[in-house]
Amino acid sequence: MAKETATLPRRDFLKLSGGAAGLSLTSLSGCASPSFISNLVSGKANIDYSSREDIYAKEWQWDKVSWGSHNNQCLPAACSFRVYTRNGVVWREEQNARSDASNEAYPDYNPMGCQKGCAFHNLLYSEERLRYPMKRAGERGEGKWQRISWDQALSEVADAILDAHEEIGSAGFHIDAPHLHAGSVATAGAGRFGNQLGAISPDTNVAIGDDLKGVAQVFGKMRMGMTSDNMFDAEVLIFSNTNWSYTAPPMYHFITEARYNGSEVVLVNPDYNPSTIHADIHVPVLPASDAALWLSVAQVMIDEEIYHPDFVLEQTDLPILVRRDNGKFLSAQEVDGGRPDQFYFYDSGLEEVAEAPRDKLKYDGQAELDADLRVPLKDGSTTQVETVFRKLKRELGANYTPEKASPKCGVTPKLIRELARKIATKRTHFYNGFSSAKSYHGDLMERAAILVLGLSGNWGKPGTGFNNFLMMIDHVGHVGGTDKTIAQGSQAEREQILQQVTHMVKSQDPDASEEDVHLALAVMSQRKSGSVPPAIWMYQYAGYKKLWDKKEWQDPALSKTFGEYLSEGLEKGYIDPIYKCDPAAQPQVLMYQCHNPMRRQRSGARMYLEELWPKAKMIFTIETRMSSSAAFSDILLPAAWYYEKADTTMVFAHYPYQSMQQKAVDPPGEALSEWEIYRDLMGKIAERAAQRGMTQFVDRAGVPRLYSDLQRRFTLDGELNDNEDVVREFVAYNAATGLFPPDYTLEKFEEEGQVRITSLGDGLQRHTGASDWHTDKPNYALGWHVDKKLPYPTHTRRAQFYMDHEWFIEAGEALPVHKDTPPIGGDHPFRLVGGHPRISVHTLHLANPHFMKLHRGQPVVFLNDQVAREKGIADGDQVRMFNDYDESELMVSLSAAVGKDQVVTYMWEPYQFKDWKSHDVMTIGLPKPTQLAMNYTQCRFHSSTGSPNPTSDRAIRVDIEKVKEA
Amino acid sequence: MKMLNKSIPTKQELMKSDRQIATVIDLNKCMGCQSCTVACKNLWTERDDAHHMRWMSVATAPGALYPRDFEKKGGGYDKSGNPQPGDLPSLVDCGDAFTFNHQEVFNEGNAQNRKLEPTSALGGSPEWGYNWDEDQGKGEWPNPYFFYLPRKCNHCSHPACVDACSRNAIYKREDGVVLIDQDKCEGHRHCVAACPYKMVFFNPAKEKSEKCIECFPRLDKGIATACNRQCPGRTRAMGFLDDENSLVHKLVEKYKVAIPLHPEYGTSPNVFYVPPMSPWAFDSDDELTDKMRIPDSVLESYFGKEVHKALAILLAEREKKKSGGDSALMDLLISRKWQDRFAEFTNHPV
Repeated sequence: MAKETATLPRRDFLKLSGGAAGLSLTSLSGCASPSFISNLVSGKANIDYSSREDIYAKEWQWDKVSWGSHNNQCLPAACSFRVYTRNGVVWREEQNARSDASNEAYPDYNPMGCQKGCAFHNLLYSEERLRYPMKRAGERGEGKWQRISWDQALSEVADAILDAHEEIGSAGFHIDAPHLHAGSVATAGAGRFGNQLGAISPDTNVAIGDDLKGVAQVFGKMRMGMTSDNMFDAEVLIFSNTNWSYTAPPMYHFITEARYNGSEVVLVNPDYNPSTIHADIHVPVLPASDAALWLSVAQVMIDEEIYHPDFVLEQTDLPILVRRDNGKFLSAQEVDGGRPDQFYFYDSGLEEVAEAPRDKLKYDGQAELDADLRVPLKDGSTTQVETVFRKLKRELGANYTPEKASPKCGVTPKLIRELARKIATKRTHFYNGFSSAKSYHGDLMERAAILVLGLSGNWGKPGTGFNNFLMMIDHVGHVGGTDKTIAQGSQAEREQILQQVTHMVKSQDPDASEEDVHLALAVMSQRKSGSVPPAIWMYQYAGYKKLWDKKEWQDPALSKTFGEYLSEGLEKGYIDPIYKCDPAAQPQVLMYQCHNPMRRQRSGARMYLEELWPKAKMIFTIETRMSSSAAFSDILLPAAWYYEKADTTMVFAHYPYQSMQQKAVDPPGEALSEWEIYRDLMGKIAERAAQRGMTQFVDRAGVPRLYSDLQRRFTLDGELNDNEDVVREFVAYNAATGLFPPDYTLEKFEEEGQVRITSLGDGLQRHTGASDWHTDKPNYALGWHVDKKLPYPTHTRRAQFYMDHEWFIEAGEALPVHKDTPPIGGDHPFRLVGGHPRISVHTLHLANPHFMKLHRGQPVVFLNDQVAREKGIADGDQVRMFNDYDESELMVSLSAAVGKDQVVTYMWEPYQFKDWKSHDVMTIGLPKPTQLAMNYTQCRFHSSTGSPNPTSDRAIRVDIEKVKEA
Repeated sequence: MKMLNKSIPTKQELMKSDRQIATVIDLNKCMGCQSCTVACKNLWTERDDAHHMRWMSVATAPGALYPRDFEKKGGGYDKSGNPQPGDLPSLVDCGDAFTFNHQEVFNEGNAQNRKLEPTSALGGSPEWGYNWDEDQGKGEWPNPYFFYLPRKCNHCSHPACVDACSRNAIYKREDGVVLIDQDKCEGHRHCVAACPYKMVFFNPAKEKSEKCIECFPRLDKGIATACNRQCPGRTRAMGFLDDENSLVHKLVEKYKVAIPLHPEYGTSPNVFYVPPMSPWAFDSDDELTDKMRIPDSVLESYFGKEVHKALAILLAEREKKKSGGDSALMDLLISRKWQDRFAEFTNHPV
């Protein structure tokens, strides 16, 4: 063929291409408009650093290479990159790709880094970038700005904070839930800044709805992490409430490679989301009805007796006895005047009740799973009790046989049975994403799924677990809160505190574990930190009372509104009064760093604009880019971004490395690192205070603090003066606490660019993970509970499926049950489904032209193609999405991958919408009031967990109609 | 680079190469993340005269793909080796080059009365753009289906672009990479029309055609192409087809599980795809079946009849693993050591 065509085709192509030989720039058949061409020819849009006229070969050149990464907390959030600079600007970045496998039996982690990382530098030089301190020159949000000097900007912010101190006290200054996006140094800086000034700050992890309440309720801890290669040991991989192809591209290959290795991949999502294409089985569960599915799977396991009784007896509360009259656990206080938290088994060898051990899981007698009996009490009466298992079996049999559950969850009885048999007989790894935590009844969904793993013995062993994330950010906490550097002896001080807390905890409970001690310390630290429960903060300060006390929107099983639960909780002592968020002390100065509440807080585009922000005399924002919320600031302080400041990543266990981030280039304009901004602001506050004759303020603990000391205390006498100092301190801390090898140095880090972590540190995370940490094999959570029989830090000291708190019993949720999502925002035909977008972490990359050119460049909502046809909606039409509260306009993308009862949309920046109203405006975020039971052992509020998530939005009901053209 | 010592080389000479570099893309691993797209774009086409070009692209299939409807635009050869007429894709077909109005939204006192939105390079709201039909797919609930189809120049063994060029500006290097000599190209665009994959793009500012250069400055240093090395899904393998130790050779020649896209176009392309094993379909009672949900006819329309054999091999080998046995093929597709995918192109850029 080649011979024949070697000479002829050229002429043929000439002929066939319709005389294309004469084409020139001006006769492109519809290729380009005059403006496009003039732009191209003049090179007007060219920026001086990227003249690309060179021949290709000359492109492959650079001046300097630095280590880089991105702190956008996407989980893995620690990918090691090489950053290439040319002429003082970042030219490109590429994955380092030098991460070893745990051992040769497992896939390695390379190349670690996705589209967001591979194109990050495009964000540095884009129009949404902030370059100079700015002051608004019109109304808030009007879009009129005046460039000002750093001195003026800091003076105005300092004066506003001092005004708040004078008028309200230190509680007048609020740092509104800064995300970790800004980086380890910046997050530590914001924490340190707030700590030194006695500021109030809603807990960020809870504010963003990443607190998995059901996991905490069962295990007494919320973070169940694993290294990604643990999936390679699983026979069945279940993914639910997640979409890794969007949210975790660098780890996705562990799924596809496990599939090649023979694992069966099961995706449980309402839509056929883009990760489902590589599954074996799609379980098309109805939106937020997962609890019905998993309870039915549990029912089949019990009914067919394929559950693992030894594991259930040892690990869970299912053999614990519950009173039939009041639904409470039978306690020693009632039986013999012992501890109120000493509970019982029925021991068939002894033929009587026996105390369940509190100091370990292992019980040497013959506890029975399925028992009921009458028990004599101390007061001479008797009471009927039964095991949790017996109660569970009865409830499941009554409500969750596959035939009964199928209409509730949309999964056929046959498939439910198949899943039960698979999970009961195979090593099953469950990855649960964050969508459950964004579901009103997400706690029930998680409890039901974990029950299935408990019944099948699927945790604490290789290739198993109910996994989400571990978060090793103790280095950030250390710099955020310490009074001494490592070199100054902070570890000795910490050890002393730990001993005191150990003594205190052990004196109250001799059976307390090390994990209990660390948890007690975390609870105490949270009280001192100024951190408050976000839902309470929003209810009291941001006007959410208007939305969250509507009885018609809440779970019909609840007799009280959110506000009434809050009052009752405070009265009964379920809620520590320090967290009440006194309505008398409204925020006067609000600080934002990496927080875009107009998108992030449900209905924030209304509540913050209409209720919260008008109360504030000063809103200042430390940001790298113009977000919708930043546009409403009074003062904008421009911050350096990744590649422009020294930093390190945080470690989420999926990828067990911490990566070095060097300052490759200077930030643009006058931007400074956040740490420098805080340091200088401290100096300015002291200076202005002196000028105003103010000497001291009283912090939250009632301790007076000198203004003149602020900067010295912030920098620890100049030891932590800039980002480089802080990174050095991070390394010292990590080496001292075992996260890094003990002799590890900053110099070594700078040479190697990343460190494989050698342990989970010496703090709470170590006990949360509760497994020996290995660098040469995969890691999984809960091993110590299974292997060493350590108790769980729960009320019952066991993995607990029965919650005997009064509010849970009242709500009918003592055992996990399925409940439909209440009609938050009214009753409408479609259920809202969504989450993180593909091309952005939150809104960071969304408004960047490079990334916007990877899709339609504007917000879309996916709608089932058949449903759209029936409604006269075509692909590309603008539609109005609405509920009883508000509305939003988006472009329709028709897809067969969306169920007929759903609409699917992901995150967008509000200013991409008409009137800056993203779909988030209608989502309300109704918190589940039972989660205010913050006195219950595993529901206590401490860093990142506890108290209601103000973020429920999955499966709320909306409607859609075509926008009529004007 | 090849030295062309004759003043007028024959097409045969221009098409000749000593060896053939090839890429395998595993569709059972591709998640459509566009990392390859941005890796390529930032390296080669992030410039004002090339925003509309995506030498590397990923589209949702079935769909219009990229450039839009390229499968309907002709080019290539018929069964007898006769060249086929081809149409030129428009700027919009090439994915457009949107611009945005940040200043108007942020800084011009418009409050919330303006939104950030794309403007087509032709002016006005976009009619279509790159990846416009992302994640749409085909099929009917509960059996929707789609897969991601990454595409780049196939560096064909019988490249229609070389054949069509009136300036003899297109040639194959010794390693099989097809390049357009930018000094010789005069922008006649016969190559654009002739390429049945529409992987040659016109640069209207320079009045020249441009295409994937297989990152030759990297290859020359033993570094894999940016799209291949930067793929987090580890979908890619690259190497010389005649190198029996390379993964591409094993997947293409030995196990025959990697097959070309549209082999009927007659250009002998050198990008090969491991076809997708899709999830089990549901029957009319919503019960799971043991049939994969992407219809055979759909896969055949992309990859020809060979796809059935390739899928049968993949399924049989995976079944061995599922039942606890070994499969050398599955281990190759896993590639526990990532660098094993890239034959001699394993150097790091730094």
